[in-house]
Amino acid sequence: MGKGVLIVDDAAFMRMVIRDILEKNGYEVAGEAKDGKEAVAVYKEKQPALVLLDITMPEMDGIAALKQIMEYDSSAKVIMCSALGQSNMVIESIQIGAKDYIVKPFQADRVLEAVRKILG
Amino acid sequence: MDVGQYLEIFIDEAKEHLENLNTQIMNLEQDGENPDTINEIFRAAHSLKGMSGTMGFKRMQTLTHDMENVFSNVRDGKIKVTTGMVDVLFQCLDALEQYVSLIQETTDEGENDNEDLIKALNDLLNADPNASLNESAETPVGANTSVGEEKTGSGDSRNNGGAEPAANNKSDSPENDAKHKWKKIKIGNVEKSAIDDAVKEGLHAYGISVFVQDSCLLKAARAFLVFRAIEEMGEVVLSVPSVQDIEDERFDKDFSVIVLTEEPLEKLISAIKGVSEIEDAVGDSIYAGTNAEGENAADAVKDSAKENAPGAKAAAGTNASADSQNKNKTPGKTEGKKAMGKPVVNRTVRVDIEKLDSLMNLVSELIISKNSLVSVAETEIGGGSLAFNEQIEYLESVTTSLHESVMKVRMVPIESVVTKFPRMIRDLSKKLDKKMELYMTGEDTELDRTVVDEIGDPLMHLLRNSADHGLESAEVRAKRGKPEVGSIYLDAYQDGNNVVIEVRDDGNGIDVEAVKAKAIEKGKITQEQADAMSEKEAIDLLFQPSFSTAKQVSDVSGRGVGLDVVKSKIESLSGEVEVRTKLGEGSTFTIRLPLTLAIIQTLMVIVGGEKYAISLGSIQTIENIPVDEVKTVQGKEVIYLRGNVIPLVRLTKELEVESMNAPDADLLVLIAKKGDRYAGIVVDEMIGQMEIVIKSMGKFIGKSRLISGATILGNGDVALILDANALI
Repeated sequence: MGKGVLIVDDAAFMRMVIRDILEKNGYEVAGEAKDGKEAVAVYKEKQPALVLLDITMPEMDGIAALKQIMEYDSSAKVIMCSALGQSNMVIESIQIGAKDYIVKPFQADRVLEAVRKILG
Repeated sequence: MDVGQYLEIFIDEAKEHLENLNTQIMNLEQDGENPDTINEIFRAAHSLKGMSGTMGFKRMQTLTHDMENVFSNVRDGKIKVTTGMVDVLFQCLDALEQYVSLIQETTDEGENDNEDLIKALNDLLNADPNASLNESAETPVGANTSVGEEKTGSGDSRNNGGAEPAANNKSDSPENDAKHKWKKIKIGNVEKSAIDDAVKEGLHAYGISVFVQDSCLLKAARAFLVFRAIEEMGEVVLSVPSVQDIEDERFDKDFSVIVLTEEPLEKLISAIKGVSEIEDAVGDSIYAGTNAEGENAADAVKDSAKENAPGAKAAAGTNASADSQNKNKTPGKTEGKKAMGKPVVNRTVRVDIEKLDSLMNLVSELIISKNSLVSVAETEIGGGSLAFNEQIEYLESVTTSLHESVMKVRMVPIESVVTKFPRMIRDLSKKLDKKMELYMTGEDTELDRTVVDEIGDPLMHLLRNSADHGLESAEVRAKRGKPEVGSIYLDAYQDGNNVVIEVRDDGNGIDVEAVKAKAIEKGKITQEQADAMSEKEAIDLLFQPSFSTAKQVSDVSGRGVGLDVVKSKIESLSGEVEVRTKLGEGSTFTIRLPLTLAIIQTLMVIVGGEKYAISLGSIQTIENIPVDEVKTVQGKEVIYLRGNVIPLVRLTKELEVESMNAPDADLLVLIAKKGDRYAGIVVDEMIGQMEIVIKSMGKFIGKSRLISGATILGNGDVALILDANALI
């Protein structure tokens, strides 16, 4: 398993927020991706320890990206980033293999709690 | 919390609550003892408090909290309702309205703490030394809103325990037992035998209750993660609420499961607690308890599994309490069971009025298109086949009902506008130092939403006018032998295709001579004109710009702005205003508004070779009158019809066109009615009834008195719509 966290979100602002939260707490960021397609490509290249995956994105959404990542690596650790009201999609992604989810707008504590549970 | 997406619904709901509060506080003043009213006010303040707290509007939350406190004390009989209290409450209401309108404009509640009001509220509380603030905040909640309030897990089960004492038997430590909600799961026959079989095979059967954190978002997904964690080690045979309900987020904060597994309980519990945002998880073997509990589980087999589930009931109770608990003095067992774990289904949707407008436009286009089909059928196919005509007729009936349905969707009761009036009259009564009472009927009368939005101001003007100018002072009323308290009536009702709203008072009535004198003084008319004026013409003077007969300018009715604005507003809505008055006895202002503005039923007629549409609503009858029955009175043509003398209006003359009929042919006369006046409109020919879509004439054609709009006919021709009211 590789190192660091892959941050996937179509909004640069959100990627920045998440990167800040992680780096300030001693986690390494393996890379960023702005859509599902890129996420899958970066995942294959860097094999990050954890993926924070947004659900709503252009090109390929988070669910489709999650499917491809899980197909490529069934032990992949993915946390879904969702908005309120996406309950069904979160459940679907958990069925596919996502380990946890966080809800926007992010509270740093919640993000860290989820990351810590998986990465220690 | 990102609250932006809830803002709209928050504002809508807050307004509903405020309206309700307004009405209820009015009721309170009438009857300060009525428990329903007091409960309703308490509940509305409580809901507002909860809502504003969730949205982070702290000031609004504080104010509603203190209002709630006052009401809990009123309900407990610790303090009595006084006029002073009602005044303070109304001020609070105003302050809340300000918060809401600020929030609507700026998404923020502003900086006004309304400290004086908070102090006034607390003074009300402290008026009685027994009224302790802390106590008051909590005790009343239990009395009426208990189910909704009980948020914690233990609270919930205590509540359920009360409802079902038999299920909660023989527990030596109630605190701990309360958390083991799974003990109340009713195990059905099928599950029971599955569990028995599994236990025989050496598996453990555990009951586990899981509590998610208060702050948890997307609880359903969280619960799903828990299920997955459990299913990695065993099998969930039963869950309360049902898996489906959990997925649909129909649970409060906890759910319970029966699990079959090879693993020890500790491992299961720690796996569950390993899921984020899980507050606690407790469990035990379902057979580990005393004999009594074992029997309990066995007895439970008889009942169906999920219907009496505690979790489901708690969820149902929460839902029910949000909406209807105020009516039910003892929410709990029966209510909870009726709701059966399913949320109260919301049977309405809020739709943007623009969407309805576009729907209405589409219906209009459909009707135009239908009209062209009709005209194609009449001309080109020359009668067409029977089947074709049948289909056209069917299409016609469908478009008509479609139009009616869309129109109905757009209709809202005028209630939303008129509910604020009693309060206004109350305030006016104090301000003007006159005793008065407002009686309203027909608040449920429905009108097109756009019209309802517009009539608020005109009605307010008329009511203020009645209160200020209409009603006499108490001394004058006493002298005239009238009751001391003046009466103002607002009556609304539907009359054919119109809605009529009457504002009536038993005051002084309009002094026609005073009106004339004022008009002369203002230089609007000369003395000669005044002498020749009928009473009706004189009253019409009131509707001229900047005309006020009040001797004193008060800040209530303003400075003569009013009746002219009322009139132009109502006319812009295609309505009309009429006044009837009797000096010394009172006056009545009657507003008549069309039900719909876009599509009307008309009578198509031909005058001088051109087609015109006349609204069917204004036409009473159609008569064939021989020329020699036309008489002349004071130089005007009239006919006698069933005892009435009806003036004739020849459209050829009004429109300055040549009639195509022979001068000695019988006259085709449409008898039109406006108020209590009639006119006979003479046309050349009649085509028939037609549903038409009103199109505005555009800005470039100056306003014509006779023409109210235009419409597109089936063959693409344009026909003008004649305003029958203008002809009378």
